Amino acid sequence: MTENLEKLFADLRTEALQEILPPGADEARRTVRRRQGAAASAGAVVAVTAIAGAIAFSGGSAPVAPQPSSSELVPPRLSPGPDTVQSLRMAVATKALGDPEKLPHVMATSGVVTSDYENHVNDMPADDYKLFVYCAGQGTVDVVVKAGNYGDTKLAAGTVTCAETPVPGQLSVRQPVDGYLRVFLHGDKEAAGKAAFSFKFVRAAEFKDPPSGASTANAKLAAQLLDDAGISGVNEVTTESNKTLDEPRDAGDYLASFGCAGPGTVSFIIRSAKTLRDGTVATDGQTEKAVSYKCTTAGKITKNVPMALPAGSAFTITAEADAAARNRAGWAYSFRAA
Amino acid sequence: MQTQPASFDELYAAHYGDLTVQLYAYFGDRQEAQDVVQEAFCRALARWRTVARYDDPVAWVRRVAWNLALSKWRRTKTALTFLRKQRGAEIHLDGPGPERVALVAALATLPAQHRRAVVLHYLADLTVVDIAEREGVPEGTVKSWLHRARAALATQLNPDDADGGAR
Repeated sequence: MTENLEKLFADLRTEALQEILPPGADEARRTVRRRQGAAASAGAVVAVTAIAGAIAFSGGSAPVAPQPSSSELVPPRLSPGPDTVQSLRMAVATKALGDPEKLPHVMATSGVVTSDYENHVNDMPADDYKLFVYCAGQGTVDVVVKAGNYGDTKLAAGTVTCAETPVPGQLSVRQPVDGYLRVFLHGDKEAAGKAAFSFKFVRAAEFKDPPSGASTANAKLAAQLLDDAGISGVNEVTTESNKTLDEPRDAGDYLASFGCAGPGTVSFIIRSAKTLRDGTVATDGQTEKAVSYKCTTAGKITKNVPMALPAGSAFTITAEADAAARNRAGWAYSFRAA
Repeated sequence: MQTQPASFDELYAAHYGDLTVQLYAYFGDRQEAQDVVQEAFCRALARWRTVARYDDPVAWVRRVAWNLALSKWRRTKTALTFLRKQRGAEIHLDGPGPERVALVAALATLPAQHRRAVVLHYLADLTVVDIAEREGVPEGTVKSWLHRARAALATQLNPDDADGGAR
């Protein structure tokens, strides 16, 4: 039977491959561009601010979740199909997740609330996330997020109140390392078997503050200082988020200049990084220059730092603003041929 | 000499089809499998700088695709139920041959872990060790899943030969 089985699977693969028409890598690019464009819109910020707080954080009194039954990935549970009310509520809960084209989620799902639901998410990259939980119906649902695929290390916990028009609850979750995390939902008597839930993880970085006027003005000031020092090709950058910018150049010798203005400290790292075959600049290049600047109101610059760029690579410049500098300070930089 | 990392296009061209076949065998629904795999590649592209640096970017895409598959499964009741209902009708459809229809239908009757193990083993060419690591279970557990899966498939596909063909 084993040989027969191998042949059956081989035939399945051969036949199915002939029928599969891949949408294509370009279609994937279009999708990603669409999502990134939508995520960058300021509208998302307002929406998140408005819904924050719907989950009452339970702090140390997080609801006690049952231990995972084993270290195995929990298989999808076979359950009877939802009845009409459940179906309607599932539709409401699913719709509440919103349009992923406008706010991309890393993972989302929905279903009927039970007293003991568990979902293993096995591919969460280390990052900061917002977990949105919706419950359509009545009652309450306790939410617990735990690290890894076993153990009891809680990453976040809270309670969301169900409603026929669900108000999203929100938890901040920091995934410490790439890999597993688990979501436990425990519906109370009113919710279990009757209400429907949905939840989604959205990268916290999707919620960007727009650059402030102060940061924009300070970026201009930093750029002006570089201009006044005779530096050409200057780019202005604001500090509403940490940024890494690619600067593809031909191989050769260059002079790097950079500066900042405003409050707080901005740390710069300049790397020469390999360019991958699809044109993407790798992020793990060699550090050419790293410096922390205590910025000043009058501005401060470093000019004409010599550095060489090997063939097939590009410069990247990363700037990280501390809390005092965040969205207040501004910076500028230039890479010129030596 | 360091190997040049594969570009996104190369990775997509080389693996989209195979990953889709694996998910198709798991779901029993080719279109849904295609959607899930495309979404997994979109997510890889969105963080390509990171994914490209992994030792095995395909493994990352495969994990995401399977995770999406499980999530979708949970959301949409069960494909198992659907397949069981549709099994009789599918046999009469033009297109897939009867052996393939029977195999997909038989797979749908397996418990999810057994089905996942058998698909990863026969279609993703993962070893028992690879599957054990991926699923976070001992190797013996995977061997047991595979043995039971083979036995069940043998019963479904050839009632006269139902010993499971242990190997």
